[in-house]
Order: sequence, then structure tokens, then C-alpha cells
Amino acid sequence: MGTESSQGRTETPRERIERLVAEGRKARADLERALLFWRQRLQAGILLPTGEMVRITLDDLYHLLVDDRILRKPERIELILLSIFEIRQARQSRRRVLSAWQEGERHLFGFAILDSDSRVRTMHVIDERDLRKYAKEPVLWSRSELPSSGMGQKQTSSECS
Amino acid sequence: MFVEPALPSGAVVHDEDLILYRALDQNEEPTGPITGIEVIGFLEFDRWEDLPQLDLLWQLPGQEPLPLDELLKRLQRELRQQAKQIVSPA
Repeated sequence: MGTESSQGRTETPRERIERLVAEGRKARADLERALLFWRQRLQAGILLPTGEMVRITLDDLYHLLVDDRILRKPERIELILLSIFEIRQARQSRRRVLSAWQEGERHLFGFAILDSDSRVRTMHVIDERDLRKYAKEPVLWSRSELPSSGMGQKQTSSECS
Repeated sequence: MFVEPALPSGAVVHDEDLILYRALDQNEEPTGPITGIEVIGFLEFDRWEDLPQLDLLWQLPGQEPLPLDELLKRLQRELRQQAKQIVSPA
């Protein structure tokens, strides 16, 4: 199991990804494509459908790339942030963005965690049925038309508190 | 925290703050063995009883194998100490 570097200190996501690329366990081309995508599309921030600008630092990006479904398709970072259907209150002043989008025939779902300073702390592609596990979190914002998300009742609010 | 050697992995939601990583299959679905765990807000996390019950011992390089909760508590203490030093360097 690897969380610590050989120096005994905690390995950061950036160090881990770069080590795995150097060891040939992750594709260098995937990492380079993700870095290019970040410079071209993410570095300046992303405007959510709510009007909020969120930021992804380079260190944040490496954290997101730990999930191989993000690393292989970094454009999903942007898709998750632009395809929001709901925002929920998570612990410690964090917010959870829930998203749904389509890739060809596939309906995909994901979430991102936003810190109180609008930084993207983490993000994952998840199964639709996992959305139910967030049902207890209070809804802060939702689109008037929900996708078939399995979250229960249809939401109608479009206010962002 | 991840299992080595690393396998291509995707997320499975355990609860609001806990993500399990599982190895991805050919259809890019996380159906394989557990490859890691992510705790959102790890420094403040205290719901140790809610950790997934995994019949595995976890081991950091140079340390003894431990149940997941014991290892994470130890790691959390170390990270809190590091965070304290960053905030107020001696």
C-alpha cells in the first residue's frame, strides 16, 4: 500500500501520479493530455451554471487524476462542473455538486466537492445508484428538470443559497 | 490511501465522506478488487465506526500491518501534526 514516500513523509497526489507514470503504471500520454486540458480549459476557472466561478489549482488537478476515469478523460472534469443538476450541503462548509451527462450511448453521473473558497477538492465518476447515498444532505440548489437520478422526489428550486 | 502495485481504479461511494477505489474492468466499471480509500475531510474525520469492514490489514512502507481504522487514526495524527507545523513553524 502506498501513501508514504520512501522518505517516510506522506506522498502527495502529484508525487504519486508522477511516480506511477515513471514506473509505467499510468500512461504518460494521459497525464500530458490532462495537463494540456487543464492549461487550456481549467486553469482560469470554470463558471458553474449557478454563476459561481470555481478554481482548480495544479495540485487540485493531480488529486482529481487519482481517479483513472478522470485521468483517462480529463474533459470529464469540465463536464462534471457544467452538467450540474443539484448542489447539496456537505460537512464542514463543503458543498457537493451532483452531475449527469451523456457520452455517446452512456449516461454518466459524477460529483465534485467544493470547498468554501470555491476550490474543487475532489471529484469522481460514480454509479447512478450511489447518488442515493447523498439523499440526507440538504439541497442548496437544483435544476428544475432533474435527470433520472434515483435521488427521490423531483426538485423544483433553482435558488442557490 | 492506495494499494500497491497500483491498478487502474474508479470510485465507489461508501457514504458521504468515504470513497472506496476498486479496479476498473474492461467496461470501465469499478468491479474489481479494492485498491484504495479516500476520506473527504480526513483531518476532521471521526466516524471511525462507519469505515467499511474490510477483511484486510493495511500497511504503510516501513510500518507494521494494521486494521484500516488504526492505520488511518495514526496517519491522521501525523497529518494534523504536520498541518500544525505549517500553520505555526517553530
